[in-house]
Amino acid sequence: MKLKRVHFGILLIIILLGSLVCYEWYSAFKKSELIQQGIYPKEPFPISPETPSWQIPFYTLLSYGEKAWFCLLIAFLVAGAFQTFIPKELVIKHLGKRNPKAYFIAAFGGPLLSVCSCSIIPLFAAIKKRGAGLGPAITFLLATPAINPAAIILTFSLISWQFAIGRIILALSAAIITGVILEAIWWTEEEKVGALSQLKIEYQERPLNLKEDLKEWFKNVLDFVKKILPLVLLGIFIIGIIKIFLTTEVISTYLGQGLAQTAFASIMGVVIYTPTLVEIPFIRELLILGMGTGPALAFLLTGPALSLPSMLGVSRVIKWKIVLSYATIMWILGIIGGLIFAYFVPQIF
Amino acid sequence: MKIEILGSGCPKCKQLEANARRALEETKKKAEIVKVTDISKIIERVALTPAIVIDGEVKAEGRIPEVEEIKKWLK
Repeated sequence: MKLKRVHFGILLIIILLGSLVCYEWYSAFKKSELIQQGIYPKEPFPISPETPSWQIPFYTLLSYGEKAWFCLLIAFLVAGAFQTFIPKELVIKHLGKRNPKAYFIAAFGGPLLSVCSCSIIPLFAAIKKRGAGLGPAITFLLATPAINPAAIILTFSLISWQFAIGRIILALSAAIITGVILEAIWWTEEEKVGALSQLKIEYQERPLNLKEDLKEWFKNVLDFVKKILPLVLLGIFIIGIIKIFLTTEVISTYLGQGLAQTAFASIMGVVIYTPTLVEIPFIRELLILGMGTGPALAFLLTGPALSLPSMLGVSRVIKWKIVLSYATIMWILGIIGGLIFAYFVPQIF
Repeated sequence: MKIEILGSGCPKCKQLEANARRALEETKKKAEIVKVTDISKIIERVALTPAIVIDGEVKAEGRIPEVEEIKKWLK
């Protein structure tokens, strides 16, 4: 039997993820062993109150480079592997019919597609008009950016596994709930069966062609690196600048644990536009400065799903009223999600 | 011959258009290249962008075909 392309891809992704988990565990283990012996590993780029403020952004960038290079590498390799080896047709095929299953396919399948941000809106429009309808299309729209593989890997490495798991579970449920509610509210108005054909995509299984496929994978990885890495580095540098002005008192007042703080963080997620992956070091720094786990997760739930540019783009396809209602519902779910998370994981650093 | 490039105008669609132009140049064929950026027009044909349509037939969607691949379709 010939090895199928998809299977090879899944195997590759599992190996990559496995090596990341081993690496993280090994370094955590080594660190705790050193601490037991009374040796405290020194930060190569320590930031103390004596550090001159102009140095802080550079030190922040360098210390992230030192901490995160391996998980960033894995994140890019995995994102490229998803794009190369997981056939998009397989997911979209299931989004062609109106049924409850479509919500789950939209929530779980969307993130697997790893489509670029400019492809999300046409795909959203196609699912809504020719496929599974408004509800699953909204679920797809909200789940896809919130839990893309690279973001989950980075959350796991830079913050903690609790955050990675909390993010997946709460983002998926929030996306599904929002989709179901919107379908219930706007169903009659949007239920116009046009002359358009049903969304049908054939899926042809492709055998593995190791040399060609690896080349394509490599190309996709390089594409991601070129597109995302400069933004991530710039983002971290800017975080370093912001850090100069933030004090522990300010953070714990406005972003400590609590209902009002969670609501504030979840609005902040919408207003502050953070490019993909930058939200993670940003939240990490705020957590170190005393942000509560609830507000932090609320920010991670609403931030990627509801940015202003994406809402503007979507409003070209659906009415503003619908955009505002999904944003409001998502905001409320973000707060609830944050509170649930704070209950289970009250403290992290 | 009519070549349509479907996509909302992101770098990927531009890359696809550039590949199509290269393929035309190399095969010395004449064709009209039309860019379709209107989302409601795009989704009548495909769900995944970028996509290339040659004489009304969707040749590739959701990926950027190489110049060599496009050359085969031009024949």
